Amino acid sequence: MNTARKDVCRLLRFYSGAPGAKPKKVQKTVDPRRTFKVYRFDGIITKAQPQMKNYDLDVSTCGKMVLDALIKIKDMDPTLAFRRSCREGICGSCAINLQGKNCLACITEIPPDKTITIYPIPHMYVIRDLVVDMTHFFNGYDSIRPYLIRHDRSKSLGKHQYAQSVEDNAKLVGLYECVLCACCSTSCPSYWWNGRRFLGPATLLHAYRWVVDSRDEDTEARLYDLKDDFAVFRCHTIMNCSLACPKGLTPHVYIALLKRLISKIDKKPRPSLETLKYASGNK
Amino acid sequence: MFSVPLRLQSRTTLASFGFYVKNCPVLNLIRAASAEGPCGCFDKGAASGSSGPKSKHQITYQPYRMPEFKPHDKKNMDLNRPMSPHLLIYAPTEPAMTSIVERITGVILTFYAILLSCGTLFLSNGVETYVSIIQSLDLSRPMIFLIKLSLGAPFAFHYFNGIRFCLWNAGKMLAMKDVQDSAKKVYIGTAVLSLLFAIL
Repeated sequence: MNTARKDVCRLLRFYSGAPGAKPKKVQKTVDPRRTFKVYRFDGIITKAQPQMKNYDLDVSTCGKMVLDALIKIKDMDPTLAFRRSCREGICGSCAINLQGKNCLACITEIPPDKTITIYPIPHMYVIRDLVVDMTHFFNGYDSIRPYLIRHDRSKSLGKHQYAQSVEDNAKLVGLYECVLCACCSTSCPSYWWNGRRFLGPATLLHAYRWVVDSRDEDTEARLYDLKDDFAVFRCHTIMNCSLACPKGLTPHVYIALLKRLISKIDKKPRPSLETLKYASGNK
Repeated sequence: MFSVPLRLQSRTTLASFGFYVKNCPVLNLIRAASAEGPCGCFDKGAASGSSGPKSKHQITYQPYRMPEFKPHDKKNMDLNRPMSPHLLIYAPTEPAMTSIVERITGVILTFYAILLSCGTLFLSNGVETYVSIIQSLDLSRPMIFLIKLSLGAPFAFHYFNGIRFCLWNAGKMLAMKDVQDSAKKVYIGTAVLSLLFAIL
């Protein structure tokens, strides 16, 4: 019964190119006294320009994740502002641009480099230091109706369990784990230039998640809403998104499949288990 | 002085909402304050500030007004927020660089096409005269080789990467490993084909 899920996990690892059987590279030893160059902007109240500040930190005195280093830097300079919450890569608050690549600070180890550069996630309006305005990102996510929609006139929502076969549930693996950290969307040059109308890989991943869910009945309307020149089709398969995803997801695969669904080349298969199978006393 | 809306919230209306009216500390404060105004006088009339100098510690309550909707860019640009750096700081990744080179070669090929078509349409002498001009320049063999290489390479790259792009649209070869493998094959194909163009 677990084989479907195991297969999908294997496929996910395959698609994202995770180093499964590759031998671990020998880590070069670097002096633990590193220099952190952090993007600083004191907010719109001060008339100052954004600048890079250098902080010297001995990384053997703090935990090995970048978030630990940032907290240690905040001990040195309390004016540094950054978002963080869960410290385990599940909330998606601490997205930063580290050495030119987007990642979550709490689950990314401090790289073995002498100088470590930290920027906020690219092409977002900066509120203060590493804190950016994510409003349009979340508005885009809300616009795809990220909830289950059933065409149920009898208003019996929540009264019956919706059945789903193991295979249909396995299709959601690799889709539900997205934490909306915006690492992928802000690594996509297409999202940089068209961020207001192009939805971005994170939102499109979730759009695909709701389209492909066997319990959802609003597929036609969902696909119709995405059928314009900007919402999905600004994606030019640049694939920066899957390289940036800190959870190892592969938005580029699902966006390609979503494009095929929108252009009606593929059709969403019928649920393999009758969704209202366990609804006692049907309607 | 309290503005009108708060005074309309009498104890009865609050009780109808199920509020526990008796010992609510906020309500006690409001009741106390409305019983005796801040200037020490009991004010039963209209709640306008017409009695004496207004002290700056007066609290006025306004009904909540949502901030006016502004599009994201307008709101942030009005606030003068800077944009976080993007192109100049983002590390170049192989698929992204392949993609932008594909676009650039596409532009170059479009330029070739426009040049050729406009040349045949509008040049009074015909394109052959320009071909013979280039022949009469009598360039050395290596020079011709280099020029043909640099003119043919965009075509070769765009062609092979285009096949890769069509495969992605078909849903094939989307795994990261396949993406990297196919990129290598594209480079090899480009080198071979452009050498072929240059030699012929």
